[in-house]
Amino acid sequence: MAGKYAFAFDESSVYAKVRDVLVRAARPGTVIDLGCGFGALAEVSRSHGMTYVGADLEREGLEDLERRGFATHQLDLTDLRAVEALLDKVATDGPISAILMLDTLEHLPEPWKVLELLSGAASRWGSPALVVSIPNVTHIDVAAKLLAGRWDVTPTGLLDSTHLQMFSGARVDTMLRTSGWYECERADFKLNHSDQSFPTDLPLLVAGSPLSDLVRLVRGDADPYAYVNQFVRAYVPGAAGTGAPAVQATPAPFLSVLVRTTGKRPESLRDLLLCLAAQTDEDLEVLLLAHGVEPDLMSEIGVLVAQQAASLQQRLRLVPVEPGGGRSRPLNAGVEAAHGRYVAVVDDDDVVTSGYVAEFRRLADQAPGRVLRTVVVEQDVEERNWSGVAGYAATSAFRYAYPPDYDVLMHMVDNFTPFCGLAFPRALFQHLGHRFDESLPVLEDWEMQLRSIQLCGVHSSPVPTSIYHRWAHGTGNNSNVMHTDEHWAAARGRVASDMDARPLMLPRGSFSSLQRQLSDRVVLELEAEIERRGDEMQRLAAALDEAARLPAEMRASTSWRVTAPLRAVSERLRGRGRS
Amino acid sequence: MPGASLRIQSVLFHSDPAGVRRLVESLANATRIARGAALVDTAHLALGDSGDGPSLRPDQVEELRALVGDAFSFEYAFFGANLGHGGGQNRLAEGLTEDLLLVINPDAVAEPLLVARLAERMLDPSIGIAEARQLPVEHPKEYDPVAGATPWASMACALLRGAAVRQVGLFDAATFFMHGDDVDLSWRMRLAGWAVAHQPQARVFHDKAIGTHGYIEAGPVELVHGPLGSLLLAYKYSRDDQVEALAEQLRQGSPEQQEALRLYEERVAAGALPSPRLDPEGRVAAFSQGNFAHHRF
Repeated sequence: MAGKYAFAFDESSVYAKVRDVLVRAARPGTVIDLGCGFGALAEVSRSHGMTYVGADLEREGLEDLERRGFATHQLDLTDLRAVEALLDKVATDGPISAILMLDTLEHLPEPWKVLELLSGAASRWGSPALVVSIPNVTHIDVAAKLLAGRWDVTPTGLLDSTHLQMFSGARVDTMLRTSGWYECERADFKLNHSDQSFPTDLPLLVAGSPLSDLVRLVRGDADPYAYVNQFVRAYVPGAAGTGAPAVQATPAPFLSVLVRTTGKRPESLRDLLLCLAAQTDEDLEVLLLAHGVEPDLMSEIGVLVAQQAASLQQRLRLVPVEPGGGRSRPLNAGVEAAHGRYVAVVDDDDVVTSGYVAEFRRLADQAPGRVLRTVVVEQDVEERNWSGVAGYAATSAFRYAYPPDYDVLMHMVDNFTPFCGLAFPRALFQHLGHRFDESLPVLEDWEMQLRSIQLCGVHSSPVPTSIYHRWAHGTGNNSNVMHTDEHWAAARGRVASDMDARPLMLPRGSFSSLQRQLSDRVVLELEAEIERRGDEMQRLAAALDEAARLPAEMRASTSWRVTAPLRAVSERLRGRGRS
Repeated sequence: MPGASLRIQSVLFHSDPAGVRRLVESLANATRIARGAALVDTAHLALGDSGDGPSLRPDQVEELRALVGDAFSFEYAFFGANLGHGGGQNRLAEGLTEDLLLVINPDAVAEPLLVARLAERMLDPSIGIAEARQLPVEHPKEYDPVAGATPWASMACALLRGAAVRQVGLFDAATFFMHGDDVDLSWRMRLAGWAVAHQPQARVFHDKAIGTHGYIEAGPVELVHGPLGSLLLAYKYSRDDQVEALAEQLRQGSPEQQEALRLYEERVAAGALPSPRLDPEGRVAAFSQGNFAHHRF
């Protein structure tokens, strides 16, 4: 065990990251390193004008520091009185500018206790910054190996055998906040391949294997810490928080309905809000996402919201959204603000039936956690002048334009489900970190649909619950008229390349379905080829018949013998053509 | 008609209490907004109930009373008999004194500006009926895009001028049980010189389910009483040619349509057809491909 933690400072190491946050967060003064080990930051601190003091339970590191000319103290971090007394003592020589706890908190049985002590008494010591380095057990290597049932404890590293606590990014945030520390700097140390990246041929770890791609995709989307080896953060002391997210006054609703609006269709928006007020299943919230809305239109929306009956107003939130980010930005703002178990999207020119929420609920009860899909009917509408106000009128009956069943392969070819026919489990956004692609000008719905159905599966109903209004004569400020054919083609290309960058997951039964469809295609192509060859052979046979009339000596010639295989093919193909 | 007195009526029939609450709350909200715009002054809501038993328990009635607050006075009357739509509305409107009468279906929800927009339309003294635009299924019948004039008004939600109702009466419940009474009332109004107007800015949600092939789903009662109402309208408005053509279609039609024809023939045999017959000159009655107005689609 001797010198097990004797890591030297190196510009490519985690200690360089620690140095960076230390010099940004702390003024010159005394730096006390709690759980200092061999004091990898000692010389670096001194070089930045700080007075370094090391404290640890193990003598070996302290003696090494003393030999290098630094002050040290032996300290048991579980003895809170001793910790407090040491800092009081160090502070008598002047304010403490920073407390370092590097690779230390995970070795304590109750690390929050010392953190609470330090924040609570910080003002007495000059309100020092706290700098921590904490190993991340949710690193992609650990996550991937867990799928193979591996938890490889090692003498040092991410799964150090002496670690008493394990940390994810969320746990670090929660523990520090509840202990009275507020983050001011971060420089997390990332490693694409950690010390846990073994055995090397494990398919879960092999770069470029579909399995590894899938695991990295899921883990990478879920939070920003897939490749973080050490959380390196600096904090300032403050009041201890609760750590828990803001408590909701009411239980989470079943459905969060995201309504995108630019404020330019207030009459259509009135229609939609009426439809949402008329839902037979009232377990919904409505997030009105006002995207880049001009102030005068915003006040008009405010009036509209204020006019709603109390039961809808209680479930309605107006969310202003900064301009830009395409049609996706308001959706991402809505996802952040949503509380529902499921998230659905309607635009301000869609209308829905009274069973819109109820049908999604029925599907969710049948297949919890899936993407839910109902049928959308289309109706043509055209703009009308309603006494000086921009209104509209329907000009066609409903068209049942989209298939009643959801076919994943068909939806890979094109989008047969308008947005208002879909509801996504919020867990997709909340726990797997998915967001709508703000770089796509259009087709953001199709792109999310393709991603989500691969992860969640889909459960569909043939019941129409919403009406998609198709505006006539290039009117209506909708995506069909605001974007050129080139925009649509470019977006299709983007969606395809995004999907190509991921391993493709298909639902059960897809293998046979693909096999059938591909086999059919192969047969069709073969038949076409046979027909083409047949024509060619007929021409050749005619030539050969002509040749048969030539003198016998010519048949004995070299070229005649060379064409023998072709004649054989010709006969076989002609034979097949007759069968 | 600034500061008009308003009476609102709806006839329940085995109605879902939650749906009735949505209706009543939305009407209270819409009435308050109309009053705030000085378009309505006093208001009263009358709910009649044609069900076999009451749709609402006494405690639910009291909850509704608390919900409406000061929006309007409120009454709930259980008829103890199925009076049908028109009969129920007539019962509730007995002794009508108000300036305006809003009739609305029990499965409807009022948009916040519904009452205000309809009452605004009534500022034109020539109008006897102002009809709301229905959602999510817009009615296909034609209307003048500027003046809003339309051949007839659906009584799923319409505002009637009290004076016009007192002049021509309300629904012909003796003839029409469920369907056709709104067309009849509209045509009688027009025969008396009142205009019928569609007001697209006044919205009402009228619950309609869309079937799995994109068609509006009709209930079993509607499948019988719809064609029966059409026959009776054709007879009442002196269109024997339409009666004969429709009867021939129904004879070849679905069991429900054949039942409609049987009920009509029963009335013929019993001498129970409407009298007098109206509009022999065809001034208002229009029959167009089975409809009572030209349809836009």
